[in-house]
Amino acid sequence: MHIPDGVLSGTPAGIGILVAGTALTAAGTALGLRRIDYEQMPRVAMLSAAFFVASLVHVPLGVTSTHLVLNGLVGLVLGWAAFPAILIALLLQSIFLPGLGGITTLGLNTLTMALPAVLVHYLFRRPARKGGGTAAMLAGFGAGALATMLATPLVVPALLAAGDGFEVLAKWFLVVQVPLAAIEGLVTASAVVFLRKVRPELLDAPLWLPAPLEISDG
Amino acid sequence: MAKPGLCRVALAAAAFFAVLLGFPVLAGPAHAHQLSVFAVFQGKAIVGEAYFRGGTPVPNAAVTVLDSAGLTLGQTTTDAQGKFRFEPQWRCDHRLVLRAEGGHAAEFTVAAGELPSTLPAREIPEGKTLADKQPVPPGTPTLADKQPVPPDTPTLAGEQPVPPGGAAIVELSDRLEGVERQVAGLRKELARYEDKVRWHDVLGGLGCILGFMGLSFYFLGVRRRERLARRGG
Repeated sequence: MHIPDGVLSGTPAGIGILVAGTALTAAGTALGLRRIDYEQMPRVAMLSAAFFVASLVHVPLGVTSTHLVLNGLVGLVLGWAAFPAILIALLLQSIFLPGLGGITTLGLNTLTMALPAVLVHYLFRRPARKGGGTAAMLAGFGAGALATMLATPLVVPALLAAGDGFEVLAKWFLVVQVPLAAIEGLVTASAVVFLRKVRPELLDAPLWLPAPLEISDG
Repeated sequence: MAKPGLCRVALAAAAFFAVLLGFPVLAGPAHAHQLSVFAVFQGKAIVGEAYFRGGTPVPNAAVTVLDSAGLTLGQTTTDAQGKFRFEPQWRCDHRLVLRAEGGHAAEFTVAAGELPSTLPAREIPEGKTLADKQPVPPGTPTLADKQPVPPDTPTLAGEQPVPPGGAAIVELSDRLEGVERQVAGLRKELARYEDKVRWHDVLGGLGCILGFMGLSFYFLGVRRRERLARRGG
């Protein structure tokens, strides 16, 4: 998912895609920043941190392996604020962690991960917050899986438009995305269940724990 | 409403992050999808290897060799161990570009200074492509017309007559080769070390995020104070 520097910057089409990605990300980030208030801020930072670390979690897939992305979880909790959260996390990944993304592709990478996150937010936030246990779990799975799958229609055309020799990369991407989506779904589902048990206000959901018996003295 | 106790929440959060942070440790060597290339000049050729970060070799991958201007000098392929070999024909920077699955690319440059001075310098007149100028096999004295060499002086590239202290020189060059190999090994280790994700990088990133959060709180606070002041006045 992290497109490195130099893959797209070789062709005019690729440069156009990079510029477009950066512009759209700037717009999304501006929109997201307006939604952040006092209460939202620690949430944004926490999910940004989780996203930053998630890329170090490796998922073996046969001969190759890939890493977690967690953009579904970020989107589910943050909505449009996923843009600044993912932007910061990707920026720090490209600086600190070798081989993850790059500075020139920062805008495009943010777009391909944050846009599905926002979509997932509007699709699944209601069942994840208000639904029962099973509904919340399924919503979490759906959010994680769909956010991963939706990155594909954004990344693959970008790679194909860059032209020569990237068809192989695009194909590989398709093959890897499906099992990764399932794993992302499971991780996001368990995170949603966990958050609802421990910190339901993170999801703006009511507490699941049974209410204690009212003690009335007459 | 039974709010979960602070203790329980802290415990749960600690567990969550322990799992998240524990994974990379367990999965350390399987850090397999970012690529790296490393190469040095050894003996007569540039030898190198391509590996996924963490050390797994990249077999059967195409390595394109470019000069500093981006013109293709040649191409080679990695073997089953991810190793490759390229005989340079020019003394110039060699950029080795590896492209592999998943949109991942890696690059390594062997500087001109590493190559032996017996190779001809690369000079391409502007507007000409590589095809115009056939590579001259090493050993051909291309510089001869610029710097006329006295006929008696044996050139480096030509056949070297064995000087009187021949045995000593042979021994010395053997040792030199050994040192070269050791340096190559060290450089390889260094390149691998740089590729590794280290704890302080991860903690540094998390610290930065916390710092950004603090900064944002500050600006949010300024905005709120201004709003309150406006309302109050």
